[in-house]
Amino acid sequence: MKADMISYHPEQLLVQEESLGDELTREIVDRLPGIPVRTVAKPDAALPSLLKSSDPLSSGKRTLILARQAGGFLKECPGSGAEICCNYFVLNYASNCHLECTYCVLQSYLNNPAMVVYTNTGDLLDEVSDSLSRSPRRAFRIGTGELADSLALDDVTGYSRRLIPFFGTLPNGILELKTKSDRIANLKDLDHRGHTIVSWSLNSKPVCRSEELRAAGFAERLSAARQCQKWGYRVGLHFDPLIHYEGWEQDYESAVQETFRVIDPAAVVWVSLGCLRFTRDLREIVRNRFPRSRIPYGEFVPGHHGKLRYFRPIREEMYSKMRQWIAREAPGVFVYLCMESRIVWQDGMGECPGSTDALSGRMDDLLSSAAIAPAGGTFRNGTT
Amino acid sequence: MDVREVPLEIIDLEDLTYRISEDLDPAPIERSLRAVGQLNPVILGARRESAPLVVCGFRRLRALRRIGRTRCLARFLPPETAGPLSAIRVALWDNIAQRPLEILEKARVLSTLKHLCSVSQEELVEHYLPILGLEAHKNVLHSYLSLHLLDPDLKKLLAQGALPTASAERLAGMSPSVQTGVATLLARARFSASLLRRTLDLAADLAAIGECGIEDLLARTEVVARLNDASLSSFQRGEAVFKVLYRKRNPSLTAAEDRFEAGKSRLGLPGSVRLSPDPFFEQPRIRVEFEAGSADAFREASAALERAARGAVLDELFRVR
Repeated sequence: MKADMISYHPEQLLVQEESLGDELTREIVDRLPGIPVRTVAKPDAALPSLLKSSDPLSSGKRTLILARQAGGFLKECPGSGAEICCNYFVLNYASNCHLECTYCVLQSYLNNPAMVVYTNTGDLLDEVSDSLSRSPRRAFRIGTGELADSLALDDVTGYSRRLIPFFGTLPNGILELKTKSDRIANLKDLDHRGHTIVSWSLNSKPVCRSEELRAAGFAERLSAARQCQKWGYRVGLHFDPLIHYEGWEQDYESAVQETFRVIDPAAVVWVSLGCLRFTRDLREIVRNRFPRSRIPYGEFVPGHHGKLRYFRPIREEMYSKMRQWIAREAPGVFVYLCMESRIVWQDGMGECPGSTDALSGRMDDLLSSAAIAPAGGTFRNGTT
Repeated sequence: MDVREVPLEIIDLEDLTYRISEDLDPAPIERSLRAVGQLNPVILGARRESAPLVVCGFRRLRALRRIGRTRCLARFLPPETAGPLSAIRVALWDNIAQRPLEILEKARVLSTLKHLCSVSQEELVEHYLPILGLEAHKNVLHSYLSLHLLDPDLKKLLAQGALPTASAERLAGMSPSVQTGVATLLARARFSASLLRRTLDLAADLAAIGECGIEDLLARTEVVARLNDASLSSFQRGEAVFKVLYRKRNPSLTAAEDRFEAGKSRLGLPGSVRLSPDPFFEQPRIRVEFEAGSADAFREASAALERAARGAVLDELFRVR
């Protein structure tokens, strides 16, 4: 059995000078007593010493930097270049993650290997508020799990206590917290008003054990999801990345069965599926950092933007079977694919949304059933 | 300067401590000695209790011995400059003053400096790499130091240009048994730099998947059969080995490729019509090209395409499973 997830505990805390006066900085420093704190001019100040390490990606995770986000927080999801996409937005409240998933794209994506949390929370909330109020008839599904896990650091940052009530006041915004953790304590009793979806990234149990090294175990994730359902949150599930290996069918089928034995399908707003994709660089990193991982040895071909993906029939078979198992265990739950082409939708799911807007609209409709539609109509992009 | 003519027999020719040259017996030196005799003295290091050892001039001394000479012109390093670091520095500068050093020669110099003379990594990087015409970076140093430990057969292939440097560096980091296995492969098959890199990638993947050694993989019957196929040229053998490994690594993709090729044959199109699938079958798309050198050839190709369009085989080509 995988051990329970261990709380994040950095070895050093670097605070950017400009962040010193921020309320969140004070809160985080208070929550990490005994950790040496040093003030730095810029978040990159730690880079030279981190890069000297034999494994900067590992040692970087032991350094927590509190800094101000100089650019924007809110961005379109990088998946928006795919043939069919869900029109998602990402809110980068932090960057990097300590959960050590072998396949994590952040290993090859981030320049700074340290953990960074942005402390100018007022700017973040203002930016979201301004963006959403400029398009009051458009629905925004916004996730914080793109460059970081949404909840893995929550007992240190308390970010959820700022974001969830804030989104509760936004007529056209839905917050999705995506996590592989079980750090949900802060979510209790928050006034979410149905505007927060708490989502878990799930995988087969062997993959959870061998490839998601410091994440919460499969059962712990389900248990946390069930607790959130009890607190009135709707839950999302992301079986992503699906990993192809000998015996995958049995493992994933039982993962689906177990998931819906623990979680009430009626409160599951959506399930996404996505097969493993990674760059050649990332593949080399995985090989070097995690020599026991079997992930680099799938049957890959170069695809969209040169990323390696499983050969199309393999992906289609995985999606098709997952769809059937989910339909059997949780009839009526909406299942969609992340970053896939029309042909894969058609052959893997048996249907294909007419367009990105069609998929996005379908997802917005799912949310409108929770009585959280924006003023003047249903929760649907561009049609209210 | 202490220059003397000394008998060859008093020199310890077996002590290769300060050797830099990769090829100890190049024909031009022998020809030169036969034609005009020894022009420059070799450099020897005096030792108290044993025969003097060679610092510079291994190739000349071996050639002199081969052509039957018994004496040579030699300069003796003064005792105060006969320490290992001084000696290898003399050897290094003497060599690079005359010719550019080859990769393995640079590797040998760096290894001697590091292991015999205990020169620090920092000094090797900052001082000696530029002298050797190399970028002053620790990764370059590590790469050259590893090349020095390469299997002797692979070293020969590297010196002959049959093994690209990048692949040699990669192999240098692998076990001696893998190096021997690859040396056996390269003795019978030739690869372009790119094909060798891809072949090694495949072999490394398959070894990891099968939890076996790369050398075991390269010794399997289907690989050996390609290597022993006398009807193939050495480059064709390289291609054939690559294909064996590629098929093993990509079973679904190669099965789809085979089905596509079989279907294409069944369409009965003339050779002037080319059909190719979308790269890696990612989309159900087929590219159709044909050339016609005359109106009749055009009509023939278009009629063949029309016949193909009426058959059920065409539908199969669009199905990847």
